[in-house]
Amino acid sequence: MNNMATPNLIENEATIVIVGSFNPAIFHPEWLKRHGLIPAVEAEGVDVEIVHNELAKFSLRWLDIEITSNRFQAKTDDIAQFMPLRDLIMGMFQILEHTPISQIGINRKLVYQMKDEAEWHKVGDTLAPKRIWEKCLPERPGLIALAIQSARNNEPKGKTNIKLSGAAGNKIVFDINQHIEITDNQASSLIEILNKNWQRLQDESENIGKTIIQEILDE
Amino acid sequence: MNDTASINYDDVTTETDEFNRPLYDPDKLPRKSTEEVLFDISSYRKATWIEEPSIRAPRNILPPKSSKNLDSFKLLQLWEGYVSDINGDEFTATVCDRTNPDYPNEEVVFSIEEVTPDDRELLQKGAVFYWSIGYADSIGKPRSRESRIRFRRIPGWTQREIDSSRNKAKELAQLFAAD
Repeated sequence: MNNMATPNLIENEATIVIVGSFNPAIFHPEWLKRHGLIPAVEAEGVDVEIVHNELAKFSLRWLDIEITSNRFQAKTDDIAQFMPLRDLIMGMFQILEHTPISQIGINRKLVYQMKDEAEWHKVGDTLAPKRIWEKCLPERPGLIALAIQSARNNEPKGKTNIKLSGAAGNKIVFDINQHIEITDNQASSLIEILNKNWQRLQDESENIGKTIIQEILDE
Repeated sequence: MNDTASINYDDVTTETDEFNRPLYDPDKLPRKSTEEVLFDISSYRKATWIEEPSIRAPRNILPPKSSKNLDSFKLLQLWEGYVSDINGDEFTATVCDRTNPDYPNEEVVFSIEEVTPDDRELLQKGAVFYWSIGYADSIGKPRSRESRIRFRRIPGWTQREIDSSRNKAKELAQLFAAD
């Protein structure tokens, strides 16, 4: 078997998505600072796009937050801040302990740079063989995106959703969603899930991207 | 439909005003299905018996969005640690290598000066922190190698958690007493 070098991971982003009932107007960097969730210096010079009854959107140096009345999303592309992201969300919902929460997504975006166009096409050709498609399409078909879902066989129960797509510049993008249902609608359950499972689920997501690419290139 | 997949809310903005400020289209804002809307712009636009007025979403009164922070940090190594001792202007910590999890834990002595002033109030025995080393790139500055320490910030126990723990302790005490 020809073991090639692992492709270059050029983008690495972690996102937490929470579905529940929120009041976007209260989410502001000053609120985070007042509750000691971020250092005072991080609340200065913050890029606040909007804080409104329907939508709050602002960015810290290392974090982007977007909140509507039923969806909360926080993401960072600084791998050194993946754990602080988790801590921040845990802290926020420890304070907002009465927030009803129904679902959580612990998500990861991985972007790999393939060596050249041939290597890039190999990913699409392996995951979506063209032989059958070429029988009914006049021009050579190409894979745009592939979606895979699998149930998790460990705690917390839920599903792993993977979307793989190609991007310009011979890149392969993985959007991995670790979806979890919060059956008791309690913020305390969210905190417990993040506390116990964040690192493991992040490792599993990273392993998915690495394994898929490596297996394809090793063929 | 996967509700917890990440989405990009830049799709919410459509056009901009004469000052290049985004005008948010309320039709594109996610809504709860049971939400009561006093004025539904989408149904008003469909009316055919009156000339459609030029209704615009409320102006964004905030200043134009500044250019996104283009600083980046290329991580070389990451540790998670806890403070084991504080001695004058130094503190000792046990650190666990997150970049190479198979490596054994190490004991490291830090100068308190390495902790940002905002985090010094968090410096106490048992406090957890994240230590990262990497290359920092900023607009207008040459690349620099940086060591960053960030203390974990989690609020204290809530009263509900304390009460729950006390109740649990009472139950267990009664259980053992019965035995």
